[in-house]
Amino acid sequence: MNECRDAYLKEIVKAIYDGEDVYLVAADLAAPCLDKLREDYPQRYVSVGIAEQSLIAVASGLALTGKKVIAYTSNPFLVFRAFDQIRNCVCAMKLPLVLLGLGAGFTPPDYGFTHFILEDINILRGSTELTIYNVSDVNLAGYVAQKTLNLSSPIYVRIDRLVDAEYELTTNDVDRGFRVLHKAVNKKICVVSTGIMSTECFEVIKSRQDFLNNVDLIDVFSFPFDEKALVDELKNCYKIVTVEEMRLQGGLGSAVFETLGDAGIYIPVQRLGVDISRGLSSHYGSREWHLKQFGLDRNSIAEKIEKSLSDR
Amino acid sequence: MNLDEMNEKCRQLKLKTLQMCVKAGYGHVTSAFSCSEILVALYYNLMNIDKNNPSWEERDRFVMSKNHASIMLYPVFEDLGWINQNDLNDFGQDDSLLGGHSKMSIVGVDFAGGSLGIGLGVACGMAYGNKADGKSLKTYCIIGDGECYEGSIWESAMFAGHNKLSNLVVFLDRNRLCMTAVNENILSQESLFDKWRAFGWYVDRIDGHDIAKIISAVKKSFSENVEGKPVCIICDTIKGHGVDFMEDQVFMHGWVPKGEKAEIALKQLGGAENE
Repeated sequence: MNECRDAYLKEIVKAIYDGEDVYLVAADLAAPCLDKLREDYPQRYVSVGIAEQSLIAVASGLALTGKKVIAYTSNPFLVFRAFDQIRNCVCAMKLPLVLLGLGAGFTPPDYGFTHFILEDINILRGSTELTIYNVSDVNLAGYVAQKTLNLSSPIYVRIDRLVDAEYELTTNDVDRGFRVLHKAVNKKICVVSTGIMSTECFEVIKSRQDFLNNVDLIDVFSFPFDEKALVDELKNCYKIVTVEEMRLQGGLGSAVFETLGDAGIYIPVQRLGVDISRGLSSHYGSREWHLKQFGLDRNSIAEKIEKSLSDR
Repeated sequence: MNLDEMNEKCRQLKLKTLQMCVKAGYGHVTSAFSCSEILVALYYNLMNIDKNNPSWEERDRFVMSKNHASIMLYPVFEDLGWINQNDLNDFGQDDSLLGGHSKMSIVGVDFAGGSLGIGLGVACGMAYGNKADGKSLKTYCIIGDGECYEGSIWESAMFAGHNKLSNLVVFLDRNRLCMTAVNENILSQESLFDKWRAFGWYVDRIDGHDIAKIISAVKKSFSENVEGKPVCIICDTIKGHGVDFMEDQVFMHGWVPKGEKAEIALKQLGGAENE
């Protein structure tokens, strides 16, 4: 299942066939929807081998010749192995290219920690000139593909292999970097989530009428986001629960804290995420198993929301 | 410009570089002086540029991968009329245009490196893009031998060799010194010739302070390189070349003479600090 990846790449492939000067630079990663393109336009699919530093540097050089460039490979290696190149070539020089990373969170689950993508957004959030898209549905993938063709600065596109949801995406949402997935009649709690956790939280809220009545859900898909607009959405609730399949330090919850603090808004925030500051589990398991270890499975999220409601 | 004029130009540019750095109190002078003749050969003979239009789309491109040596580019750009003497005078001052590593905001800079090992890959991308477009322009790049310890250099070398980027010419500034020791005593690098050749490059090795040899080596590569390989010219150089007490010295990386030492250095280059 790679709906978001295909939604993004199919738009890019179409653009190339339509005459757009787009180049995909890849570090040993392809996709079925690229197969025909690689035959018809071999020059547009540039292989650098398993060499992420070369990936970013070559992509940067191509971008400097005026081409629309997508640097594409598996996360977390795209970000972590080549961070120096991302920082100095892409961000500092404000090159209009796409960093397309396939993979998010505890995936692939059986590969273990080396392959988990838990800190990429946390690290990149401090980069200059970079906009991050944590793709949380197919429509957003399509939007980002269109944006790819008209970039003025770099973007990092984080594609989760398992995200296949489809939510409404308005121009206002795109401008703000987040969207309200559910608005409750009585706004008591606001859940703020990102990536696949937005779908998980949505399923949790839909499963109970008291949640539907009292809990808002906001999907933050872009970093940075419109801070003032987010404050406006959050300021009337009495508790905020942030949910992310990322490390807590510097992640979504931190971003929400910073935003509220800067605005002088003091609302309790409970952060749900991955805390591995005291070490890693020595066991393997499914993505669901890993999520459960950190209280990020649906039952655990429901319990946290329920307790927050009853604490009122 | 004939050879004598280029050699004189090189001396003048070195002098300006040193004056700039002495005034600012910093700058990687020795690293710049090991590749001075290469820069003169490039900007006054080899590169197809338009002095009156530094942004000319069809110009050859230059990537200073060992970008701490970019301080030597500033006097070149001033001489070409792309920046002015006041910019040189302000080098390293608060709110100045010019600093220790060049930036894209400086007219004439095609890529702003700084972190070693990055520039060659970017030059590869430029060369690939221009080749794909059928453009005849060249991409020139200077890398340092110390920089060749970076694994990313060899990722790029493999990429260029595989893609036969014959429009890419790399000068390897073989000054044999890192910051703290002689390279061969840190981790042995030879045979660099064989290594680059094994990665699919056309390789030559010359005296990197002989402008005539630099020019002829590049021209020879264009005529002899029938297999369409990327070109690597290993330039045997002396770090700090042109100032006797700065030549080939460990722990003079990023070192700028002061006081009497500065006066001696400037005098050896035919000038004086307050000139």
